[in-house]
Amino acid sequence: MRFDHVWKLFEGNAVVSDLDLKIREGEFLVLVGPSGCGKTTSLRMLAGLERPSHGRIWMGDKDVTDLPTGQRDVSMVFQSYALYPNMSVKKNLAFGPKVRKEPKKDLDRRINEVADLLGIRQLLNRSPSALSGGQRQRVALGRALIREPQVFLMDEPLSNLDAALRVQMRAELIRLHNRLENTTTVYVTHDQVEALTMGDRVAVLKDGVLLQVDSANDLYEYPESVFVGEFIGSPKMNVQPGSLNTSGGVANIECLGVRTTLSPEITGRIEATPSGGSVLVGIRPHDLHLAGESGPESERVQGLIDIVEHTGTEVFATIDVGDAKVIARLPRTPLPVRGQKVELAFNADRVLLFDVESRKSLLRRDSEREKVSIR
Amino acid sequence: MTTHVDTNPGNPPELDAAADGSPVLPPENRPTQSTALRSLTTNTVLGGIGLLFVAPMLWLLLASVDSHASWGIEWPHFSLINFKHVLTGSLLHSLLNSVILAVISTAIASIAGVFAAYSFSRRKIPFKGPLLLFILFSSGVPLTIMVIPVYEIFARFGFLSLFPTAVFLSVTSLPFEVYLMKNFIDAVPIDFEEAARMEQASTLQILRRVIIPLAMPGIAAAAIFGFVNAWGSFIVPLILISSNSQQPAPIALYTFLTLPKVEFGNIAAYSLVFCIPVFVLYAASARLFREGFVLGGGVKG
Repeated sequence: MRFDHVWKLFEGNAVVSDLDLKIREGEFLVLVGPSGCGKTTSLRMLAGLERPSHGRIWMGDKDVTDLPTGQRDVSMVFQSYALYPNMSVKKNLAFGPKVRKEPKKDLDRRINEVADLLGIRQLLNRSPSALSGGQRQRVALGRALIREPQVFLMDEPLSNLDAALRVQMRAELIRLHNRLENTTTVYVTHDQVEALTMGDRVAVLKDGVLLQVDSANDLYEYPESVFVGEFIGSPKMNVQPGSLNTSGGVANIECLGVRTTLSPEITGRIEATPSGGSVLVGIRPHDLHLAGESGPESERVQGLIDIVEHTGTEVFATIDVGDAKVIARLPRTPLPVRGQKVELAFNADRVLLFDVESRKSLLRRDSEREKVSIR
Repeated sequence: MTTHVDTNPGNPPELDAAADGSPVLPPENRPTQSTALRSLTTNTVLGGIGLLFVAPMLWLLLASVDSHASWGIEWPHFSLINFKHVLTGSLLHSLLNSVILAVISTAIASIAGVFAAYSFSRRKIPFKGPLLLFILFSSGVPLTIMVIPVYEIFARFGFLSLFPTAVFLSVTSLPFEVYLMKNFIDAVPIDFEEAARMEQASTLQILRRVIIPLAMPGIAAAAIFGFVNAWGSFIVPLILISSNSQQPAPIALYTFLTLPKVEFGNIAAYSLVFCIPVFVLYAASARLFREGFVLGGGVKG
């Protein structure tokens, strides 16, 4: 399946700009981005519910741009589930086959198969209003499954569930995808955790522009832009101005008042040093820590804890360093408190460097990793 | 269970647990004297107004079973002679004419109205806003200014009979019905329709299996409006139906008053019988309205 330079304009505004994306057969691709980034519109164009203003959409070697919805071999799970409230679960499942006038004789068998797969056999005669959120979700999936489509489209299907159920359904959806061989799933979400945990590949969109498509790990390790770096990973990556100077194969950076030498691994990946040497330095909260007793004075910086957030397994603190605020992961014992003075240092082998103007990454990908990600 | 009695009314009641640890009810909040007096006054005034509305109904009930009925409310000489009299001959025939008139008119208006309302709700139509405003305004045009020109047209084409009049009555209730049904169809989330369309359902299938069931309360309300409109209409059949034998019940009711001796008992009995279909319709649809929208559980968020 392929978006071929697809644009979608609404009243002159580009909601999707020049989307060029190939979806591999059988993969679980997640479209992720903040609200209004065009992810749902892109999905609806695949479904045939919206027509692209420019560009073509391909399924296999067939141009489906002008094919009406329903005649593409796709099923969609709506964010709202859209279960027909006037029909029982069974009738909801049977709706598609009935309107397509598929043979009636094995319809019951198919309904039972799908119901067993999703564990909703005992709910078949209930009406949707008598179901819990998770059960509705399953019925909506069942309605999509019964068509046995090549492609599943899912528009934020878990956003109406409570947190615990969401985690459970996440695992169930992945298990389901793995069971249905050769079925491609395109999944839209605004939740980066969902995107990272579920997607074989994750496409990050912003303002209708596709920024990066990669595996979860590569997105985290090699964000191509500040936006992707900040969007992926929680809590958000710290981005601070700094300066970089390279001479004789050694790279030094200065950031947050810390001066340090980058590891040879990162130094080797630096593509170019901007003139003047000013850069944006990205440091993940997990790579910012309390400075130990040893280590040179120049690699530490003083800070004052402003807010402490306890997530259960980890403790993050917002720390004032001069005029800047940074987030760091701190040890659980002793528990940090507000107003405490701390000394911070960061892992010099884990920093990300971005251009100040273009906000694009200054680092090349690790060649070993690249081979793995292309497969 | 013992009730907690507050011994020192100046202080808030203590809400702590009783000796055995179970929670204790604080004292009941009784209405004060001034609020009781106020509600008594209100109820008396409202009751008085209600009585004004009940009086004619009471007369109708009593006179219909009174063999010597007059215009006053009095204890009846019980008899069903009035009903027996009005349910025979041309009077019964007029009731049947009314049924035919109302049913045909309701059926035409409802079917045409659903299609129009769906189109206005879901399709892109040029000048949709002004068109809808025009429809809304045209539902307020008084029938009396249209009925003379329509008579001219009907007379020219030989339409002065029951069926064409039913069609004309359906047209007069259509604007309001379209507007009402459109609002109900608007309230059906578009997701249902898109989901159905992705299953290759045709527009007719979507209407029949999804939109109409979900907008049923609105469609029923519109249909009842149309039925009552045709059922109670007087001036239109009076002018547009030339044959006496095709006249509906309201005209028959009027002819009672033109007789040399006014039979109050017959009028009351005929009026009651005339009300029955409307009562039945409202009672039958009450459940539908109480259930209201059945959208619960279908979409969320």
